[in-house]
This record gives sequence, C-alpha cells and structure tokens, in this order.
Amino acid sequence: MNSHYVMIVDDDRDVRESLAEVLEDHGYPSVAAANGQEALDRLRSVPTRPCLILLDLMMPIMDGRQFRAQQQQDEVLGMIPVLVFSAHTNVEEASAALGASACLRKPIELPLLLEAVRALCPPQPQ
Amino acid sequence: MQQRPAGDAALPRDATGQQEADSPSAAKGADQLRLLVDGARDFAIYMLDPTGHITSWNRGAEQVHGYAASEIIGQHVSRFYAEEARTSGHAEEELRRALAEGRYEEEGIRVRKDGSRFWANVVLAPIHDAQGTLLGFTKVTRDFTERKAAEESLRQSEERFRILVEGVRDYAIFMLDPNGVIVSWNRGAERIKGYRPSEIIGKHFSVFYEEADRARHHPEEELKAALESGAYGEEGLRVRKDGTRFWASVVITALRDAHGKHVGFAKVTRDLTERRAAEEMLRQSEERLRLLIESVRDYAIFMLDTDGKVSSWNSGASVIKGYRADEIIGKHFSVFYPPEDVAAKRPDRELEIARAEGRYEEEGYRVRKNGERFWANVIITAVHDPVTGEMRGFAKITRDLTERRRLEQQARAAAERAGRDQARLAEAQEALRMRDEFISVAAHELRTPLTALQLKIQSVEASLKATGPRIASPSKHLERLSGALRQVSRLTDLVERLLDVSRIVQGRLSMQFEDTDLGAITRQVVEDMREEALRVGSSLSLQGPKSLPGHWDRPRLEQTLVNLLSNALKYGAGKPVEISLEDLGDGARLLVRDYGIGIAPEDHERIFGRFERAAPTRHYGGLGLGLYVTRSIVEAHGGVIGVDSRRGEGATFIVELPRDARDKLSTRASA
Repeated sequence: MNSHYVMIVDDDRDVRESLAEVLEDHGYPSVAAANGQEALDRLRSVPTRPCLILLDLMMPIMDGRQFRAQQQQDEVLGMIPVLVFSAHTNVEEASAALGASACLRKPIELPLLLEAVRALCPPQPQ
Repeated sequence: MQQRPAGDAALPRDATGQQEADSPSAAKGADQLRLLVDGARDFAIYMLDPTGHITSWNRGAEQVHGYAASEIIGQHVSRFYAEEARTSGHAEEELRRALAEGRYEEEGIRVRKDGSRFWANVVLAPIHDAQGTLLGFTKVTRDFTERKAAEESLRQSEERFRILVEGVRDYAIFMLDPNGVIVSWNRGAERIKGYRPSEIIGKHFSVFYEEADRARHHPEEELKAALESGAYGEEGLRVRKDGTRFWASVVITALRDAHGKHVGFAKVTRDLTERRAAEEMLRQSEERLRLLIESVRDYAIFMLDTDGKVSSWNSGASVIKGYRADEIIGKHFSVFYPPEDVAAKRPDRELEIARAEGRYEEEGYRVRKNGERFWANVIITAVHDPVTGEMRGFAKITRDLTERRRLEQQARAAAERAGRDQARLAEAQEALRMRDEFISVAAHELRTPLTALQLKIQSVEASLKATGPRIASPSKHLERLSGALRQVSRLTDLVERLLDVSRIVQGRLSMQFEDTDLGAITRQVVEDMREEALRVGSSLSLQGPKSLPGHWDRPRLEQTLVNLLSNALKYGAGKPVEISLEDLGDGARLLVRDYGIGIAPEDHERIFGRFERAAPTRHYGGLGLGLYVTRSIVEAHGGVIGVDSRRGEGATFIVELPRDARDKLSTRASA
C-alpha cells in the first residue's frame, strides 16, 4: 500500500538534502537514495511504498532511465507515480518517454514542486 | 618455201666450174678435183647427160641415195623423186630451168633406194663445151633432213613467238626498220595506240609522239640512242590515234642480224596511265600523310635510323623538344634523355627492346634543348621495309605530359587538400560536438548546486513570509543559509575550473612556484576528502615520506590531488583508494590507485583531453575537465602524468614531478 511519504532519488547530496528540507516543511516526510539501484533496494526492503518518487535522470551506477525501466517491470512498484527532474534542457521529452507523471527542470522552483507533489500525493485524511 | 642462200654448196659448185676444164693445168686440176669429189661423203655429186641420165656417181651419192655406181649409172635422175614429182615431170622442169638460168637450186623431198624419203638441197648446173654444146649437168645433192627438222622446229618456235607477240594485249610490240618505219604491229599495239596494222605499217613511228617531241627530233634521238647502246628506255607521254595522250613506258631495242648488220628496231610500249594514276595517288597520300605528320604540334613524331640518329622531324617535335629540324637531324636521339639515363644506357636499351619486340613504350623524363625536363610519354616502333622486311629504323612518338602530370598532381593535391579539409571539418565538427556536449554538461553541473541553492533560499524566503518579521526558528534558517553559501562556493569552484580551461587554451595557466612540501599537501587533501570517501563507502590510505619538499605551485598541486582523488572516489566508489608518495631524489612520484571500473587501454591517452571522459556522461557527472587540467598543471611543472589500468580492474594514476619545476622548464625551454 502507498504511504504518505516521498522518495527522493538524486546523486547530489546537497540536492537530496535541500529537497528533503522543503518537503518536510510542507508536511511530506521523505526517504532518499543516491542512485537507481539504491532506490530499488530500498523500495523492495520496506513494507510501505512511497506515494511519489522524485527521480533525477543522470546518476552513477543506475541512472533514472534504467531505474524507471526496472520499476515499470515490477507490478507493485510500477503503480507509484514518478516526477522526473533533471538539469537536462529537454527534460519534458525525457519525461514523456519514460511515462512519468510530471517533470521539473533544475534548478527547481519551490512553488512548482509543491504544486506537483500535492497533486500526485494528496494529503491523507487523518 | 622460200629460197635460201646455198651456203655450204658453194664449194662443190665452184669445184665443178667448167671454165678452166680445157687447159693442161686444168686437166691436172681436174684430176685433183675428181679425187676431191670422190672423197666427199656428205655430198652426192654426180653428172647427168643432157637428157637427165646419170653418167657419174661419187661416194657421197652412194651414201645419200643408197645406190652403188654400177646400179645407177645410165638411170634417169627422176628415179630420185617421189611419185607425185615424177608424174608432174619435176626432174625435167629442173633441167630446163638450170639450162635456161645457168643454175637451179631447190630444197625438196627425194627418195632413197630403199624408198625412204629425205629432205634434200639440190643444186643443178648445165655443162657446155667450148663450142657451147650442152654436155650435160652437174648435180649436187645434200641430205638436209636433220637441218630441216631443226629449221622446222625453229620455224614453229618463231611462229609460236609470233603468235605470242601478236596476242600480247598489254604491250604494244612492233618492229621498225632502220629508218623508224613501222614494219609489224601486234594486238597490244592496236589496243594501246588505236591503229589497225593496215593503217600504221609503213608509217614512221614518230606519229606516236607529241608535236613538241617531234619538233626536237626526240623519236630520231631515241633510235640513235638505241643503236648506240643496244637499247633505250624511257617513260613519257605518247599520243594515240584519237589524239589522246597516255603515259608510256617505252623500250627500243636495236636489232642486228647474225652478221651484226643493223636491220631495225623492236619497240615495246606499255601504257602506264593506270599505274601512274595509282602512283600519283600513293604519292599524294604520302604527301598528305607527310603534311599531316609535319603539322601535328601536340606530338613529336620523328624517325630514327637504325643507329638511333634522327632522320626526320615534325613541328610537334620542334615545339616539344625545342630543336629545329636542321639542328637535330643526324644527331643521336640520346640528346633527349637526362644525363643519368644516358649514363645508364637507357636510349640504347629502349631501341633494343623496340627492335626485339617491335615496340617500346614508357613514361619518363626527357630533356628539351634548353635543358628543361619534361614528363613524356614515349613510343618507339621498329619500322621495317614492307617488301624486304629489313629494319629501316624507328618511328618515335613523344608526347609532353608535363601539363597532364601537373593537372594530375594538382588534382591529387586538391584531393589531398579536400581529404585534409574533410578531416579538419570532421575534427572541427567533433570539436563542436564536444564543445556542445561540454556546454550541456557544464550547464548540468552548474544547475545541480543552483538547485540546492534555490531550494534553500526559497524555503527560507517562504518560511520568513509565513511567519512574518518574527523569526520562528533562526537556527534552521541559519543552517539553510550556510547550505546556500556552500552551493555558492561549489558554483565558484565550477566557474574557476571553466576559467582554467580558458587559461590553458590561451596558454595563460600561470604558476606561482614556491618552496613547499608535497608530503604535507597530500596529507591535507586526504584529510579533506575523508568525509567524501566515507560517504561513497571508500577508504583512503596514504603511504610514503611525511615530508617531500620541492619548488612547486602549492594550490595547483592541491587541485591536482583533489582531481585525482575525486575521480578515484567517483569511479571506484565503495572500494579502497590508495595514495602513495615516493622520493625520487631529483623529483617526486605520486600514485593514486582505485579499484573501480577501470579504463580500457585505448582510452588512456584520450581521457587527458579536453571535455573527455572514459565513462558515459549520463552515469557520471562532472565537467570532464579534471584530467585535462591536471595534466596541464603537471606539465606546467615540467612533470609527466600517466595511467596504468584495464577495464574493470581499477586504475593507477602516476604523477612525476621534478624537484624544482623551474630547472626542468628552463632546460626544456632552451632545448
């Protein structure tokens, strides 16, 4: 089942940290992974799935595309919506190609990020 | 049958002459004569009485006619004649004519005792006494059978010859008398000259000549020349009956009889009009060919004699070789060759090949009169006499290929240039592509800290907006502002590295050498990187002397170490990274070893290039400038950098620096 938290996948520690801070500010707990492989390992090792994955594309070991391919092959994990963010100029194209739910370009505008997160991951009725 | 002079019969006829018969000396002479007559075996010599009865008989008569004297004396002479002559009274007729004319001679058939016939020459003469009374006849008969046969064959052969001459149609063959009057005419003459025999025989042969020739007595001169030297021949114009002229070959031969007496001329005339037309055509065609060859200016076409001496020269040869015909004809063709070819006996060898194989062709350098060399195509062909097959010399055709060669070389150079341009274009395109990729990578690299920076500032801003002037949690804000400053510092580093590239490219990477210690620098950098190593799961170890002093640029060496260690942690994350230092005496060695993905040998040089990296960009961030800048720094110290690695087996980067960067650099600068 989906739980009310966000998974951040980015190889840059500062970016992971900044994202976690702002999401925390707005009521979204998060977990982070430095690359695709780490993210898969974590998803498979926890009982609850995140409501959203924020996915960077360019990472060592396993990049965003490879992660997305693996994720989509997995019936359960494939259900989790993905927001692609990248420093790449053509992030929209890349996002569409990966069948992502939304995309953002680095540097990320905070209001756009929050809007997308709220849409894809509605606050759970307490 | 025509009469002939009696030749051999003169002796017996004279011997039986009656004029001296009465004198005593004549009696003695008559005895001697009788002995002579009796002994003559080839002649039948006998006497007849006035009526034709035989009164004497000699041995020759026995031999010729087959009768003994006892058998025939008293018989009539007519018994020697064939049946038909006897019945026609020929014998009596002979006697009558001998009596009337004083002598009678004939040739005819006679019959021997055995009935066989023979061809006889007969001379019959009457004998009178002093008073003129007819005493009888002397008769001398000779057997001419053999001579007759010879004559007959001669006659037949003459007849055949006559028929032959008559029948010849291609030659006018006719006879002239000593004065030049025509006495015979054959069919060829009729055909060529147009006259029938009846029209021309008896006319002077000058009618065949043009008026001008007649006026200068040319016909008579021809006869005179023929008479003087036996024969005279010429070619010239002659006139037919219808007035048309033709080109004739004429041979006039003086004819003499057996005694050397001039009896006339044989004239043989041939109509050469056709042959002459053919010859004229041939001459014209040869002339045209000669003009053609002479006028060809693009090819030197000339002949060599069998020794290789120039024997003809065309205008192309003048243009190409620079010699006029009068300068070069008679000279050996080796003057057209460069001295080294002459020394190597190439001209002679080429002629030998042409002689042996009929033809020789090559391209090579030749020399003009002015000494200039040109690239030539040369064909030498052996020329043989079409009739005898004998070698007459060589035809040589030379073409100046200098221009063609120049064009070819130009074309080749242009192709090479085009190839180089192509390569340069490809290089430029590759450089552009790498630059574009670099810009894209640089933008990506800059956006990463910008992302963190922007999120931190916007979150502080949002928080301050929400809480108003009273700051709810200043420590949280301070923490985020410090994080933001860290991003600014990252961005400053990136900008510095980009500027390094610009400085290296422009040769403005300036070094500030000072006395420093590589041992201390390395220890410091390793300590600074330990947190980063911990984060990626790698350990950092350092071996070597604590102090390794030298004269270097300290910040640049720090940069070098940071670059090498960052790479090692980036590509060898999760595995140990080993750093070692070594004192080389006059220098220092630094090794950075990781156990990461490694680098294929073919990439060892490339990774030190600008914007290059061995691993795909999408897996590993970074500007791809680290090793480029690192090598530039090392080389600016007069040092070297290299890598020892295989794909999948980690990598060891080796840096060697001279103890004092200034020494090595000044040595190199002066070298």
